[in-house]
Amino acid sequence: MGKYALRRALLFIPTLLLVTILVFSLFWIVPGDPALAILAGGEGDTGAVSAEQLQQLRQRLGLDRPLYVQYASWLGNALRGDLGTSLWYKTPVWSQLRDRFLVTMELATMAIVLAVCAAVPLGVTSAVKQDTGFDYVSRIFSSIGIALPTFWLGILIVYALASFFDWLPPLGYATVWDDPLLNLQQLILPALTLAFNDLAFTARVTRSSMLEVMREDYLRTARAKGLGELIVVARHALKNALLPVLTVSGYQFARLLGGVIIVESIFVVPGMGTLLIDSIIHRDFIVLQAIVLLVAVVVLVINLLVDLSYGVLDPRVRYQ
Amino acid sequence: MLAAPWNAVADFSRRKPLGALGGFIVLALVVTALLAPVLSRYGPRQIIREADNRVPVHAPPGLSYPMGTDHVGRDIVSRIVYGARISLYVGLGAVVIGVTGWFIVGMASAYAGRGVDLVVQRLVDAMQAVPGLIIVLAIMAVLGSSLNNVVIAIVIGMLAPVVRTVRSQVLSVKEMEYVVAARALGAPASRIIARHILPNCLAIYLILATYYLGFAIILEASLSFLGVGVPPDVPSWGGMLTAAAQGHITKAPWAGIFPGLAIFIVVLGFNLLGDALRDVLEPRLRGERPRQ
Amino acid sequence: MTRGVLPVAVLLLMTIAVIPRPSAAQTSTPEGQTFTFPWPPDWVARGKYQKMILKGVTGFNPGQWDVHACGTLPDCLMPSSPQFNGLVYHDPVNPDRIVCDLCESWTVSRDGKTYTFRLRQAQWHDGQPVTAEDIKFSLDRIVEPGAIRVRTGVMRAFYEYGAAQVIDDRTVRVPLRFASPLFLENLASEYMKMYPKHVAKGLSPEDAQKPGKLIGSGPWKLKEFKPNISIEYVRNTNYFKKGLPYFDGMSFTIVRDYNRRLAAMQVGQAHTTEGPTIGTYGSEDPMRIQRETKGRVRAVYIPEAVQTYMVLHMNKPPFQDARVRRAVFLAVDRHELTKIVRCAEGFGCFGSIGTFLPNKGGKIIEPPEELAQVKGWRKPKDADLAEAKALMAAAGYPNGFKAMLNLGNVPLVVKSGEVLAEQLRRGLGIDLTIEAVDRATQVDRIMRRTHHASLDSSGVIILDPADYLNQHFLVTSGQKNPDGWQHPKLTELIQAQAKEPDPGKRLRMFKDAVEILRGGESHVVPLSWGFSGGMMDYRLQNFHVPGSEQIVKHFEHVWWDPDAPLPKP
Repeated sequence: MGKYALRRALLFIPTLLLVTILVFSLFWIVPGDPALAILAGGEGDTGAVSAEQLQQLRQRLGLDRPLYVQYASWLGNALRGDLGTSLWYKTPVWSQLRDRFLVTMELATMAIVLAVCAAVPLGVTSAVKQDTGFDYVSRIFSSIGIALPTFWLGILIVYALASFFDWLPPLGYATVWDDPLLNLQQLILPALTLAFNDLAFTARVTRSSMLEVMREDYLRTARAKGLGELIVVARHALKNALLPVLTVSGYQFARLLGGVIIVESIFVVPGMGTLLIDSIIHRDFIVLQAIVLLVAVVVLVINLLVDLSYGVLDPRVRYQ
Repeated sequence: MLAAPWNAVADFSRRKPLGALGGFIVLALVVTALLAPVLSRYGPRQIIREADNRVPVHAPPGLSYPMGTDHVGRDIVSRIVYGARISLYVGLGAVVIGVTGWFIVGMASAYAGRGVDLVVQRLVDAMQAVPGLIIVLAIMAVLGSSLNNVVIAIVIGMLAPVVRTVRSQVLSVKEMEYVVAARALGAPASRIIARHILPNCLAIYLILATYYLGFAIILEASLSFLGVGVPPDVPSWGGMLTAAAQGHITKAPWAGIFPGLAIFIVVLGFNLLGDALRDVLEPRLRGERPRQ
Repeated sequence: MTRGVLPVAVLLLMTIAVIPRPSAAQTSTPEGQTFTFPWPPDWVARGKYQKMILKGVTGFNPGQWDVHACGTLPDCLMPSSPQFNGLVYHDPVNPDRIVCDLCESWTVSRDGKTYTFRLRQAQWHDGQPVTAEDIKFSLDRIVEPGAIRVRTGVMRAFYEYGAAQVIDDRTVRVPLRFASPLFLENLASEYMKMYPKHVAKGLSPEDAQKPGKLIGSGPWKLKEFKPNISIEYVRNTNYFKKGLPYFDGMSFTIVRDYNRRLAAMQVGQAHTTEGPTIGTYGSEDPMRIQRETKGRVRAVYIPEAVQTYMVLHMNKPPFQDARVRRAVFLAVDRHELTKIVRCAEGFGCFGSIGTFLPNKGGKIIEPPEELAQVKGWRKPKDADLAEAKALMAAAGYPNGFKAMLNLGNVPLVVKSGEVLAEQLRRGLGIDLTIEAVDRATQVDRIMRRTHHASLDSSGVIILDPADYLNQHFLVTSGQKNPDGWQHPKLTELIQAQAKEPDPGKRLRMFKDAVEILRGGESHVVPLSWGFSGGMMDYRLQNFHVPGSEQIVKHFEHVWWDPDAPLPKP
């Protein structure tokens, strides 16, 4: 298994390289560039930018160099652990990314925990009471989140809180160390929104996995031995059925890192999502590359961990 | 002759009432899309001028406009009805091109062996490692905002999950006892694929297709919200929802509620249908297995 | 304050407000005319210093801090301005008037070609005195040859690099290239900030753009800029305008989502928006929040602050053909478009019909009663439409054509695009495909002229019509005139008006210029004027709506009155 993990870890390198090349080249086909964003990017406010001024700034920012030179210089710095300086903020990327990364990780963790906490009971009861009214209600409920666009759900929540309760989470972000209560107030709504979106999928996996496990022989044996249904479910079925849930949650966590983009901007969470949107608007490819790289590493590591844990928990899985 | 499929439908509805509900919603969507010109009183882009040349901007729901009018005085019912076409176009386009295309890639990857598999899997890894929304955003920015480009962006965004699911499914079928037995008996690969792999995979294809139809509609809405969706006057539900969300939600809630409801019902329909298909066609289908 | 005293105080305040303000003392000497401004003005004593932080919300996440170089209001001027002073500025309580900021008085020579500024005793944030040397340095920096000067570059027309002379520590003489009524107007622009020579001289263009690198003499010091989170300022306790500013600090939280910003104001999480600003609040929303909070939140609007217009690209058919351009110019129903885009049932209108030039600074060039007779604006629309159709047929497009329209995904612009497309489809059979994209893409497309037409909007910077003429018709290439459209007579007029001291004659020149533009053959098709809006708590006192959102951006003059009466609805 150690060998397997090492082999997978080595495969990260070409994958990450591919990711950066992908993002870099995609970004350069996108119309507009950092110079344009800096001189004419103000929303709704138009200066009289001339072509010469743009050319001058491009030169100063080094954007007039051939693409492969720019990529090589970026890569060289990145390999030395220097993620570069933001073209927009003109500050080192890492200093900004560090705090935001933690915020986003906290948000995503909260969301996934909330989702699993709600999805497992829903899925299990849905499976135990298959094709009953409860099953239907629980499945429709868990599908609401997936059938509503996240932004719409988020905006409705903000609107409802402001209109009916005259209350909103305080502005200005506090870390969990500084002020846990304030932190909770600020993150709970976006986390709920994300969790609700995730609920359907995790509940569905729990349900089908439970259904499958419950058909297995050893459960029939357990029942035959006269054990109560509750004990059968809790003791035997749940333990085995949760394996796929774990897997799926791992993958969902990775997916969430993309999903936070919208939710963060609606709920004013200073995480990577808002930074990412900004870096796209500002054509700040240095920041974008750093975010993408960081997310990619996290996703790859999580995927690997999930795969490995699967092997630990289910001896039937063999690694080649 | 007619009785058999009818019985199957009746049987399905009895066993899977939620699935049947989903199927009904999907059917209603298709009918609405086909009959859009008949069902709507106004054109989808038509700014209504009343008798005195007044434009009814944000008229509340009432007798003349059952769901009200939007921010430039267009009939919301008509736009939602025409929007069914857009949703179906985006959904079907993404599924027909995406699920089919990536399905083939996934099967090839699983079956072609090490070299191809390794390359495809790295690509899948890379695509999966970047949040799908970023890729889709960048692609839209490059291609420009049009309906077809939305489909293309969604298709590319689907690459990683579809290829992965299909591949692991094929791999697990490949290892099933009867397939292993067939191979041991010397059956050629083509026959194994045709006889054993494909039928098994058809189920997962159908299920994926149903889910992704709903997924495409949601993604289209998210793209609109992020400002790279279909042109604003095209009556897509996501675009309508976004326009309402960006500043009209308090003054004209109906402009957001009805398209939101349309998306909700249709995506729910696809999901319920998908769940039922999954139960019926592939009872053994579980959560994803790790890649081997 | 007890109940009985309150009405008396209010009455007193009102009385004070009615008393005519001391006007600028003007004296004539053999050298010319001198303008002096009494300091402190009467409102300084009325304001109350509060030990509190002014809390605001803003939708903008800035990145540029050198106002000389920067290109836009939201990304640069808005956050940077509070740290600096100009030489002159728009009186914050009477914004149509230009008064001294860092100067104490100025003298204009008889021929109008030389301005002499006498400086007040002021200090930079590091304690160094503000000297005439700094002013000369700043004026030169504003017009620095070869440097990127998007917004301050206009000064190059009036002032030649290196021309200013230091007379003594507190006197600087500024010779102009020619006498112009526009010099002072441009100098009062918020972009013409004064920098300390000893700090700014050693900064590279890149470093100058970093937050906190450049310091000023202004009412606020930048405390911290947390990208995408907040911009925080502390009071300059050593401000040369004694007693100002009235708060301990300001803190603007960056909230990108529009609905969330509205909600923040609604539930009282902020005292103010960043001031009346372009685009986002230009609808009835602030007014609606004012009603819903029963007046606790006050809506503030700058009328006619931003123009929305269509740019026709002439590098390819069909708009290559002047007849097609004129047809579109005629066919647009500006009355209907403005009503749909800028008005709201039960609230009224937050904009007006598009004209070529802004009716600003008391200079009304295109009055509504005149427009009622003008082709392209007159009602009913039938005659214009008939002429437009004939032009289309003559140009070979009797049934219209398909074309691509490029616009930014700002809600109000998108709305304009939707209505415009429908009007042209119905009227001329022109089928416009709308592509709404982000700002950088949009500008890139305008400059490269990839589409057939673009929608754009442009804020008023200087309260003079010449500003618009310069931007759209004098600067060729670039974003506002991508095809370099020119008309010899028009160019002549634009150059002549800058040198014309007689206001009456200038007005006539503007009218002549507009007459040329009404031929409808230029690249600009005006659509509508919009308001800039914002919101403030009713207890914020002394904010007076300026004529342009590009002026009064520093909150040095506003104070918080906890006992202010809630305004009656």
